[in-house]
Amino acid sequence: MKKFLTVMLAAALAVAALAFAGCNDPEQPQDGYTFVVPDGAPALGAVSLLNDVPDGIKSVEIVPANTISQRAVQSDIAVVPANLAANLFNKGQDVKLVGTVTHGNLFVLGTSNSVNALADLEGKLVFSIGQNSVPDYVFRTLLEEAELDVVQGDAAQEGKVTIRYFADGSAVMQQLIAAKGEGIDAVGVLAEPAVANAINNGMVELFDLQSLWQQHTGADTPGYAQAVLIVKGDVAKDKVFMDELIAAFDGNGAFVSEHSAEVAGIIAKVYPQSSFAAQTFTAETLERCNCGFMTGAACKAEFEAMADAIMRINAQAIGGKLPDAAFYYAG
Amino acid sequence: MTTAGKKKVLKRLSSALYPLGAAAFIIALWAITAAAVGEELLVPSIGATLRGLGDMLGEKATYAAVGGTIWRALAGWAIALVAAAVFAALAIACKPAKKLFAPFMSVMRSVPTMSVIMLALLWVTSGQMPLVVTFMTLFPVQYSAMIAASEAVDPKLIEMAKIYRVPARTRVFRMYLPCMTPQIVEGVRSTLSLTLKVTIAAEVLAQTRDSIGAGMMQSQSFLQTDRILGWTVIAIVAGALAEAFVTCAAWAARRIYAVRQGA
Repeated sequence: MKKFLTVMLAAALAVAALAFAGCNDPEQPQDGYTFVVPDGAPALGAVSLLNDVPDGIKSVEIVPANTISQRAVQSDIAVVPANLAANLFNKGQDVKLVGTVTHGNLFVLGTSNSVNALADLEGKLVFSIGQNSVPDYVFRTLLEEAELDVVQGDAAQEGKVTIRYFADGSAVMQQLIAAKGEGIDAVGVLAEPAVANAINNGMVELFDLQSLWQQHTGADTPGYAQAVLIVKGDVAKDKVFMDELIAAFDGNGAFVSEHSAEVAGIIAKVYPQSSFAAQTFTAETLERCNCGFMTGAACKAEFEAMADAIMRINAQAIGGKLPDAAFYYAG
Repeated sequence: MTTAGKKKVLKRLSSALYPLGAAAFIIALWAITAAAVGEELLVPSIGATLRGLGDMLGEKATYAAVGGTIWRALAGWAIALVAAAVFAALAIACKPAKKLFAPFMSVMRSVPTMSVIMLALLWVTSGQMPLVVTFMTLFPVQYSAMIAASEAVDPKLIEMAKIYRVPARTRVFRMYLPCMTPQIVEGVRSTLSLTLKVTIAAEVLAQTRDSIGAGMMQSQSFLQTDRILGWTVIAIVAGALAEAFVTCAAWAARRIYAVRQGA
């Protein structure tokens, strides 16, 4: 019995050690770099690269949005939410911010147009997406600027804006449709392309959070840093490749507007389970997804405004501090 | 000390070695894995996890979350238990009722937890959702445990009670309950840790305020893998405490039963 146990123990340990050692093989740069993009709007910011993979990239993957943090750690190149990029850097990962990929696609929708200003949300329950991520921080920053008290909960509270969070846009959508069916006034925060779908279902667009953010910062940017491109330190040193990568991202905007009807198909080819797989995008919806690659000083300023806003709400979301100069790719 | 006494002590000691050995094995496996991966964000070391756990224990929000989750788990568990007791009593008292319930119970048993969660998200609040999901998962399990316990009552006893026209009250309190209680308690104990698992899963998906589930999810978004493990340790300890509580109850139930048997 004792012998049997000892053998089993040794075997289990050996298997575990081998299995995990396998995950840790250092990447072979001569084969090319690995690249991951989360499903959803960020993928729209990399469509041209999914369609025509640049030289030097050996694998492109679209991954579920809730696994992007782990996958970004394991990959050479990644598109990630702005808060995650700063958090990875502050947690000691050797990553550099190359540019902003999407500048926000958030809209506040209602079952009717009874809300004219953010202040009218006082005493109301708002359904929202993206808890602990960029959408949450953008919306809360704007509410707090309007001097509104924000709480999380299931029922509206007097004198406060109560937010009930959902995992995705379709869950928010279902709440809005249910409320509309019952004749109740309800408000929700959604992201394009789900917004287009909501408007088709009779919802009313109340606020464009991107333009409210522009008023908030006073800066001339298309919005805020939502999804950004990061690369590992050794990739950043590969100047020839970096120039190609940046050129590929620069070309994405034009590609997407010229091929709007094919965008969903390109994404579905890489990732058949994508939430976009069964959709056909109009050029107008894609425009409102606010993709547009931005590098350099403009990117840094936009990113810092976002990081600063997150710091005020929950510093842990970006690893406790603003990233220092070493975080920004110098080119 | 007599030789027999010494042997008893040795036996006790060696039986304590097994759980200690198991714990040592888990810790060794963890340490090796963490070292092999070499990436704190993916597999945090034991030290980092303990530090994370220490930080969490110093935060008020942790206690609100643990309290909220335990409250929801116990409430869902208790509601399911009471409902199961009512339905099981009906089924035992009346055979057609038992046949009528059978298809409902087998449907409830095979409904995937995820579909309950998805539907409950639409219909109830994020605070109620874990309760609904816990109830839906546990009710058929507890019902079956009670029916199984009733089937273990000696049929000769039931026959005797029928022949001698023993009043229903006496039958319930002197025959069915004493025979069934220890077995029910055993069955119900094993559902407690299941309760906690289901409650936490529902909390993650409902993003319930003040909950272990929401805490785990936040730790995941904030790249605090050490804290995800910290929450796991807390959940395991809570589950173990709940099981220990029911084990004591089971022991007490057996004692009471034994006393009644003796009398």
